[in-house]
Amino acid sequence: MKEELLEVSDLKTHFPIQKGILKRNTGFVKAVDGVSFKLAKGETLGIVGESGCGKSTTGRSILRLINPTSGSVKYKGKEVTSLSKGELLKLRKEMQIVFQDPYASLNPRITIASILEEALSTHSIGKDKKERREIVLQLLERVGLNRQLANRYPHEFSGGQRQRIGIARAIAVNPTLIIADEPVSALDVSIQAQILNLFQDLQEQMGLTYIFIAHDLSVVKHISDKIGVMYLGRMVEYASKDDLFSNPSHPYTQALMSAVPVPNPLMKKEKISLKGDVPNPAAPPSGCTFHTRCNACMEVCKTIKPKDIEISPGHVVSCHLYDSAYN
Amino acid sequence: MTTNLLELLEKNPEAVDEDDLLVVENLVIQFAAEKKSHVRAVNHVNFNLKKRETVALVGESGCGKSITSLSIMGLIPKHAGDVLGSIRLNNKELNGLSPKKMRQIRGKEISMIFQEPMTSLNPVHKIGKQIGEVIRLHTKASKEEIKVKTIEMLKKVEIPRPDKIINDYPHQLSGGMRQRVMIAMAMACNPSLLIADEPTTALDVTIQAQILDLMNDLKDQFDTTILLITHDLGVVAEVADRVMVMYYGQIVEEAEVTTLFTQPKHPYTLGLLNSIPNLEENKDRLDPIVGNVPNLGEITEGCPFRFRCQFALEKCSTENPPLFNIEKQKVRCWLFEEEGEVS
Repeated sequence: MKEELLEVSDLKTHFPIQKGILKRNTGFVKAVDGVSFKLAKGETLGIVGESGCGKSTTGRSILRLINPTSGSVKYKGKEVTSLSKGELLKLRKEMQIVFQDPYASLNPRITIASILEEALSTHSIGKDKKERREIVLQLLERVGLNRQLANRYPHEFSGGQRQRIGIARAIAVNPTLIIADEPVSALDVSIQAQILNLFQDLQEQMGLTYIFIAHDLSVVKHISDKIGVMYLGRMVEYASKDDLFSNPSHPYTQALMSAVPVPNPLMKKEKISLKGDVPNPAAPPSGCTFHTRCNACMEVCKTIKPKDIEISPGHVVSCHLYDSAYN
Repeated sequence: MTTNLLELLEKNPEAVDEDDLLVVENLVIQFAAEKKSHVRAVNHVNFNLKKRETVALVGESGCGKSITSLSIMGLIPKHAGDVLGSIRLNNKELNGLSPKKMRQIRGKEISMIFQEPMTSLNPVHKIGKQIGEVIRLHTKASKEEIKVKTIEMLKKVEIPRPDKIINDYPHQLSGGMRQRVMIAMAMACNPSLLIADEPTTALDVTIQAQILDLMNDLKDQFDTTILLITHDLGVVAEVADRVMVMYYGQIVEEAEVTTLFTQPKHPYTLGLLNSIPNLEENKDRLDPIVGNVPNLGEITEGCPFRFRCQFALEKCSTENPPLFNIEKQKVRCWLFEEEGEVS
């Protein structure tokens, strides 16, 4: 049994909707509404879902870049949600994030060497400037950039190179867990493949654990060991990659898989088309939030929230179809 | 600057084919650069679109696919850049037409839908007015007829409650609905050519599937030719009949969709196909193309792909290959010099 690194249980992050000049709360957007999973060291969890399903908020809530409303996040057995500011800073050394848009997440006014040095000095790595400089140069090489580029500014780099700098900044502090929030979706396909390979290389070399957030199911499938499918703030299915693809069980997962275009014109697969759009998260449907678009909707789905049901070891589905009480 | 059609017909009488809707010949698009020089965004591109065909134009950002479509629409202003060569729709030369004449063609004979439906719809006008405007400009319909036609178009793109939606503003609709409105607007005057520039890139996959289905249905209903511009090879495999791959302003490979996916010839096409993770296969590692897309004007001679190509020959650094014909496939690569004929 591998060592459990991260345990998230019933994580909820609700944002208040404020109206009028008095900013009275008129309701909540339940961006994350009860997400649970476990992640072992060295594994990759892929979180997949459409825009607005809460996948980024989940990632940020785990890091406490956004404070979760309730639930627990245990990192190496230690509760993260109740840490003080000082303790949190120490923890950040172990948990890092890579963002989607590497242009918006790098300070345009300082050189990339300064960007990386900043990460080192914040966490007091390297005893003096000279040593830090040397670490920076090594980092650049590690992510596949030339040492000589160290004194350039972010705008002098292409999208793929910038993403490499974003990754270098994340691994600068030698973390254990990296949350990658759509790290390749802004990149061209040939560059996307380079960055995915870099993620895999670094995982092998440094024993990293990843939470890989993406909307592209084929990318998530490529890189993950375990996959969580999210819909309107809830994880509707959670399984190992092989289980999920050999036996997709939630109607949403099935529809999502069939909607992905396959780059093979000879293969015409049966499409399950979903009607309509993702509902407004400020006013989600009652019962199962997916029932408005579901092809297998039953009467009970309209009123009662489904429970998480383990249909085989490690394969959890949140759907009444698998609940013996209703079938 | 533009070639006269008659002159062209004299020179090359067999160029006119009954089935051809759009013929693009020797298209060059260049922009002024430093020291009176030019950079070429599109470099001698030739292609034709047959009636009722869906053709995909594929490539990474900066390869010239969007600018090609803008030149067909006549949307590159004279002061911005030069468009040289010939663009003929139903044997009528479009390149060099006056802005007024071009306006009569845009929206009526050629329509375009864009990637981001929010920025291409006017935020301060109601949906109904924006669709109605196209009909008003190109037909002599009365106010009442325009309204009826607008609602009919919204029904065709499967928008629920069309009689209510015409009074909504774009921000009240979701991304998928906005793209449907864009499609309704583009199809309102029954154009013979629809250019779709990354129509589903900004949408979620389940919505993307809906929009692709819709485009396919409408194509049959309206007998439209579609030029689909995209970087997503999955989308290409699902909807296109024929594919053209662009790199650095040139078409490097052209083939029927099944041929392109089963027997890709150009190293760039091969590289693109190897780069994408596939839901149906398990690969441990991806096989990416090394390096980056070069900047315009960076490469002056030889094959522009040679720096990223694993098969590059000595010849590639001095001479840019012509397009070689191999049966119905066209490929711009010296590796096929013996097999193919110069087109």
